[in-house]
Amino acid sequence: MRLALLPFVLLAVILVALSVGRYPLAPSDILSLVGASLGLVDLAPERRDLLHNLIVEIRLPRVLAAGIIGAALSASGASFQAVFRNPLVSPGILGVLGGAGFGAALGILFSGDFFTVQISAFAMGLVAVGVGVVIANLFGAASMVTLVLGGMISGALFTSALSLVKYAADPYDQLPAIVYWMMGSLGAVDLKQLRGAALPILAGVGALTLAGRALDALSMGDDEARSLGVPVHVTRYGVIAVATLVSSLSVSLAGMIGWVGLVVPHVARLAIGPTNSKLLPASALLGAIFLIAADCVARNVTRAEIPIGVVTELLGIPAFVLVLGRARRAWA
Amino acid sequence: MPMTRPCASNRFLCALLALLALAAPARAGETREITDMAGRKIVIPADPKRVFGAAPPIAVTLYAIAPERLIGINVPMRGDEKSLYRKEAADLPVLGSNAGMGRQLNLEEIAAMRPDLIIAWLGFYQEKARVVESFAKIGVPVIFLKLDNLDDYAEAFTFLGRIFGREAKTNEMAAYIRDALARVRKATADIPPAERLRVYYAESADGLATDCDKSFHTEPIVIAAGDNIYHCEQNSHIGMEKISVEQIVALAPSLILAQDKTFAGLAKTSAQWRNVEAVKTGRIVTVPHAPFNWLDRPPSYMRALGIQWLANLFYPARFPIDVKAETQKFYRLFLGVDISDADYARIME
Repeated sequence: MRLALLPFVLLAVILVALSVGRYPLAPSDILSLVGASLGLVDLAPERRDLLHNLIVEIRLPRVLAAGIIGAALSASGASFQAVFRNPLVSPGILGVLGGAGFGAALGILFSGDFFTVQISAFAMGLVAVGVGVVIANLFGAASMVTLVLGGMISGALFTSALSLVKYAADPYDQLPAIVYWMMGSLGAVDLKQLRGAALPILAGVGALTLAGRALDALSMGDDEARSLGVPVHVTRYGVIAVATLVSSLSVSLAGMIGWVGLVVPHVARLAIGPTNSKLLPASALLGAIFLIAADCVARNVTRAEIPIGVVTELLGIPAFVLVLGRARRAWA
Repeated sequence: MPMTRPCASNRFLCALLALLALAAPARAGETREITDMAGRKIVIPADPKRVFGAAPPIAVTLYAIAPERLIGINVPMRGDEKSLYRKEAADLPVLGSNAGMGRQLNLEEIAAMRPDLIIAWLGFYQEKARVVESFAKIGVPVIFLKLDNLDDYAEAFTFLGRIFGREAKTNEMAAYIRDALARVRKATADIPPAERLRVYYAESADGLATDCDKSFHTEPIVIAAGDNIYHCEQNSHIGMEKISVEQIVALAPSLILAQDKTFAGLAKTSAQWRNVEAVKTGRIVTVPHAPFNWLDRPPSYMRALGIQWLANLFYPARFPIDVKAETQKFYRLFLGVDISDADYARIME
């Protein structure tokens, strides 16, 4: 598959996602709304308002959020896999998810306000990574392996703290809210919230994409990379920092959406090849496409919405098995 | 030969014993056999003094009837509502429950509190045998209370009145529930389905969780003849199914019942919600929940007041009542508190 093709696929998926939903609208309704906005078509003001409300205010933030989060998780997953030179690494590797989950639960316990929950999830995600880094450096300078171990320990610590918060939560509304948050949802995202998080996420994804060349150099070994003029430490820790920031922001927006950051880079690697300078943008685009599609499934298939984290797992696991079949030789 | 009558030598002691016997007709250790609401025959203490309700709906019911005999509650009381709690039950420890989510009870802890009777919920999703078995381990008798719907509550009150020897009080409560149900049903029975008020039941802080019209969670809306727009069968005990705003726009509710105050504020200002019919007309009502929720979570006899409030809210011409006077009467009878105008304003806020 050609990298240049992906933006068009993304555009098509966005258009499909905007035209399907539980409120019955025809694809032509999007065209007539666009036409009316451009002054080409006459549309009754009431109908136009309703279309604007449904498509621009309700569906668009969701579709955009799905796209941005999918891109963020996949790009950071691919970056982590490159930095750690390990195909099993996902954005949660340094303990972000455990920390963000704990932060969100605390936010729900003490406030319930969506914005507070987001901020607290984001902050605790970073705190958890910080704790992991401190643990990794406790007994001498950290290596990649001690970093992963530190992240695991920190993640486990915050996961158990989350269980404590769940225990203390009111079982009538706080506890279900925490449980639903842990399964991921894009239902409550609106344009205003998106505006705050979208810019840093996109900037981060852009920065990761640009780091592809340096990561390619790193994959040949530190000395080779140095001889090519790549600042090894700055690149490695810079990429880790940006990828952490980006995945933490995306978790704070939509809760836990698993498997995207692990599976999508593998699919992209099959389609595009292992060169990071191409793999990273391809992962970002494929991740956006995948999550928008998954959200379509989540909000259309059944009467009640299926949490999107459940959908990505259900779709991601068979995809990963297929990838495993194709890629076995390369890893053996 | 003088007869040796038992009381001849020490009249005082005899009188004291007789008095004690009168004062405590059922001393500790005395038992009786009853049939519980699950139809099981079981031997229980004749006058249970230390009682534990194993799930929130049960504990809330016991709270109305015998608050001083509770050994604990299931979940922490909410801080801001303490002024509306009975003094007898103000400082009870939190012991967890054996139903639903949240903290589960610790059998050993319960045993240490030495209850002489456990009352468990004969719920839709509770396995009776397992409940009995678990409490049998600590040797405490269990009786089941059926509380599937509001009609059951009237019966449950009468039943508990017999257990605790408080028939006069519980009969009054049962009569209140039956009367409230009858009045609301009579006032709303002849409303044709097409003319029933379309209601969206909004739960959680984002308002995007709801429950089916055929769920036990939403029974009060149905009794008050509201048309809960989310038509379906309940498929889990917890409920709170996720729904999207556009689905709500499509279902066009005329009124939103919000369980969460944060949401009620959010809906009024959010662009996403502006085409929901009830938001356009400003009909978003927050459910009172102090000290217990009037409708649900947990379900309780508070519904007897809730249905009157809803019927009045939905159809003021058909069901014209003085909600404040009714609330004061209800709180006095069931919760043992006199509420002032300021309390009322706070409750309805």
